[in-house]
Amino acid sequence: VAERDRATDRDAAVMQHVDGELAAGEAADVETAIARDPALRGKAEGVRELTELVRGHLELAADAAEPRFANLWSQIEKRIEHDRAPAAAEKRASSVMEAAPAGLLGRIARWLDRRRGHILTGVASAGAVAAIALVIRGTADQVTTGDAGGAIPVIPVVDHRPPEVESLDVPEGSGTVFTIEDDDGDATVIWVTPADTVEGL
Amino acid sequence: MTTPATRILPLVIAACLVAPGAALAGPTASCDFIEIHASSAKDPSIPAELKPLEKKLKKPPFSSWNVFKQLSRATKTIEQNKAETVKLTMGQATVLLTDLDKGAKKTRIKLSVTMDDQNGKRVADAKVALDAGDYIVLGRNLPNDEGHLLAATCKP
Repeated sequence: VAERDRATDRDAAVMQHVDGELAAGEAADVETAIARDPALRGKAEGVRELTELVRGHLELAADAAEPRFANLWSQIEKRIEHDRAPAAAEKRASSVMEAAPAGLLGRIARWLDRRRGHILTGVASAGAVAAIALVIRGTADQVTTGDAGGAIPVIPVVDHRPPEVESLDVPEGSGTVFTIEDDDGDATVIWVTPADTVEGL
Repeated sequence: MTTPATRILPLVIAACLVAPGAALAGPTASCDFIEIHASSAKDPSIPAELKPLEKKLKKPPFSSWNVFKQLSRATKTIEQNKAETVKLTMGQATVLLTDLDKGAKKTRIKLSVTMDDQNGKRVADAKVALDAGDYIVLGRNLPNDEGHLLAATCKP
C-alpha cells in the first residue's frame, strides 16, 4: 500500500511538474527522477501530450463560441442602456423640479428652458421673415422713392434710340446722312452737296 | 358786406379763364441753334463755345476742316406745331416741333427743320426724330472749300 501511495504521489508530482505548478527545488527532483526512470519519463510525455490536446480543444471551442458571446454581450449592453435611459430622464426631471426656484423669474426660466427647442425655431423663423421683408422693402423703396428726402435717387436705365431721318428734301443738290456717336451723345449730320458740285465731279 | 359766394366767384371766373388756355398749351422744347463756319488753316482752332461739339467736329465729315468759328447762337422755346424762325448769319432756319414723346424711355423729339441760304434758296428740308440732347446738324459746302453748319439740339 505504501508503495502504491508513493507511486501515486510520484505520478501527481509528474503531472504538477508538467503543468509548471511545482517549486524550483521540487521540479529539479522530479526532473532527476524522470531522467533516471524510463517509465516515469513515458508518463511525463503522455501527460504533456494530453495537456496539449486538452488545451488545443479548449482554444478551438473558445474561438467557435466567441461570436455567440459577442452577440450575447451586445444584447446585454442594449438591455442595460434601455433600462438606464428612463431612469436618467426621471432623475433629470426630478433634479429640474428640485432645482427650479420658487419665484416668478425662476418659473419663467424653467418654462423657457423646457421650450428651448421651440423658442430657437421661432427665433430663426422670425429672423428669416424679417430678412425677406427687408429685402422686399428695400426693392420697393428703390422703385418708389425717387423724390424722397434723403433717399438715394435711382437713375433708371435709359434705352437710347439712334436719330432717324424720316424725310429729306434737298432742292438744289443731294444730301448725305451721317451719324456720329460719342460720349456727348449722337449727332445726325445731313450734308448737302450743291448740284453744280456734283455735276463738276 | 361780402358773402362767401361773392368772394369765391372771382376765383371761379379766373379759373375758367386760365384753365382752357392751360389745357390747350401743348408740349414745348428748348432748343439751342449753333451756326458754324468751317475752314482749313495751318493752325487748328476750335473756340471754347464749341467745346460741346468738339469731339464731333474732329470726326468725318467735319475732320476735313480744322478751323471752326461760331457765327451765331440762339436758344428758343418751341411750342408744338408752331414754326419758329431762327435768323442766321448766312441765311435762316425754320424749326417745327411735331411731336414730343415723354415715355418711360428718353424723351423722343420730332422736328421739321429747313435751312435757307443767304439768297433765300432752300438748302434742305428734313424731318428728324432724335432723343433729347442729341444733335441734328445741317451742313453745306461753301466756295473755297469752306463749310457752313447749323447744329441744333433740343430738350423738353
